[in-house]
Amino acid sequence: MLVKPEHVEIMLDVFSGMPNPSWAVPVKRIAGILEKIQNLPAAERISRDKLGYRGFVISNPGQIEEVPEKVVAFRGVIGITRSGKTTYSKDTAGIEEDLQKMAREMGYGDVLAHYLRPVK
Amino acid sequence: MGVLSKLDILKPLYKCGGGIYVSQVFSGANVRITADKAGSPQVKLFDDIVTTDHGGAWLYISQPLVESSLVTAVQEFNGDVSPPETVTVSPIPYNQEYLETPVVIPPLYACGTIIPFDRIVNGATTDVFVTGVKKATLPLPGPRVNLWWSPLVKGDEISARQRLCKTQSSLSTKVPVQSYPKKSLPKPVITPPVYNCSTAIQVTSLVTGALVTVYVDGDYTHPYTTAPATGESAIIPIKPVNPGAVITVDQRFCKLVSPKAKNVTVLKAAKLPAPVITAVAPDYVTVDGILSAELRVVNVTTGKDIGARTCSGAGTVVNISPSLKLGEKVVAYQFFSECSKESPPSTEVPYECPPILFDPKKWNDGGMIQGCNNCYNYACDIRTDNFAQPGKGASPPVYPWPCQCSKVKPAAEADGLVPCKEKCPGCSHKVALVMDPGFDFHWYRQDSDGTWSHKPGCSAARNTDESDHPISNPETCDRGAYTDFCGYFCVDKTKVNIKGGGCKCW
Repeated sequence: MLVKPEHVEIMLDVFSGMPNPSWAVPVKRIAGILEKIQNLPAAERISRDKLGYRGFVISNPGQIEEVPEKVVAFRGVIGITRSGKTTYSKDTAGIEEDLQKMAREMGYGDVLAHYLRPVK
Repeated sequence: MGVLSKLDILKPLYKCGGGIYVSQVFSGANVRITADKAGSPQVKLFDDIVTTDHGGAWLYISQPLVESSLVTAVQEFNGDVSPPETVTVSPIPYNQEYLETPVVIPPLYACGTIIPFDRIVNGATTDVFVTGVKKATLPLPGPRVNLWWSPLVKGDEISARQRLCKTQSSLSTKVPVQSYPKKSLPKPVITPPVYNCSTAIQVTSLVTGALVTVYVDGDYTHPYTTAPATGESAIIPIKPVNPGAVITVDQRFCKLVSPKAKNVTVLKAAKLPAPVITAVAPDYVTVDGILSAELRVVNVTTGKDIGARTCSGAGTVVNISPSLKLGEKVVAYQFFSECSKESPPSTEVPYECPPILFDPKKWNDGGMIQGCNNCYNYACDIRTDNFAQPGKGASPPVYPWPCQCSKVKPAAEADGLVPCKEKCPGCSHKVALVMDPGFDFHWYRQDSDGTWSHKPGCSAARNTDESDHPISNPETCDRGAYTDFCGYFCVDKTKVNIKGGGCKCW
């Protein structure tokens, strides 16, 4: 996919074998998320090395200056990578929920529902 | 001696090609190359004795190659004949409309004695122009080649064009010949040892294109031989020198001459050391040996010679035939066929399967390797860096969706994985396919210690299940949503071909 510089790419990290669902959005579409990640309380890193739902990854292939290199949202923790260094914060602003809502709007509601359901 | 090594023809061969590069040559062997095409009589392309100091040779053939003909090459020495190497001649590349434009690699220095080229179409006839005037026409091996040339003249401009049949390239960019820009040339280094039967020496610390001059016993007024430096390290052919003699070299552009290399004393070939076998595969052995010596490989288990060629120094690959079976041991000898006894044998080395190890460092780099290799890559133990998909390595591709065992299994089989129930044969390893029906597939692999490991998508490789328990059985471990167990397969890494479509994880 060719991503224009003013766009970021959002990936629902959920599959093991198949390519993950991903979509490009203009930066202004995530302006609210970029605002919210500014002042979050610190948190401990949590492992994402499991099968199934592993949250969302916002990447910045166009290297837009005001956007971090990578933002990961998973199980209430936000990982923000800037200049190669990652810091972790508590998702007290509902960022992961915002991304889940966006995934449903993009047509991935069935995938999300399948992997967020309780496993027996 | 028993079996000469199977020749390797530099591929591809193209219609109208005027030469063939062969490696694995045993110096002094008679090389025969023929071409066969249905409905036509066999054509003899080359039949002559080939001498080489490193086992490779560029051979001009008697007539241009014909599309779809089958080219066969063998070598023969003292009645021993190598297994045949066969290659089918391909049509002219690039839609048959034009050939890629060759590149003359700068810089070119005055008095330099080679012209380095890139993007040569293997076998294409190349015209070389000096300041717009055609000075040479000859077939060249590709894509990279150094053409030995009379000393270059400052101010000249070198360019080239290539053609196959009537299909021609554009003229390359002209590269001007300039003076060597520094005030001194580095002191070359001769790689020891040199033996009295050696027909080549290796020299390093060279400047590409410089003229290398070899001197024996301090006779600087009568150079022993000269040759161009084909790179920073070059093989310089020499006539054999008596044991005890002292050799040195220098390099030069016009009047600028380097200091002489440190003297090396020529040793008696009768005291050749044993070569060292560094790798053993079913069809070849890699050997560190003496440049320009002959190498012979013996299957210790059967007692038979299985390959022989002239050595190109460290990392020489010797093709062997028949193929080794697991557990069979090989040994190598080196010798100069004209003037010495052969060396003692190398250490015996068995053909063994490379282990499949749980080695998280190999995959979990937190970057491109981890992000762009999925469970299928990990299970096959093959990096593609583009999220391999079952069936995509097959020709034509087989699509693995919708995600059901019944669809992904044949796709994986098309990539070369083989369904199995018991132990995997030879050096293949066992993998297991599981399914989250309708959504995704996942693979586990059995490592050499018998336990299982896996890599969920772009996340880290690990050897525990979803309940963080070690995995002794992929059928019963906690697999989360991947509820369907599809079965086991064997992966022979030398036969499986996997490919992906892209990577978005990283």
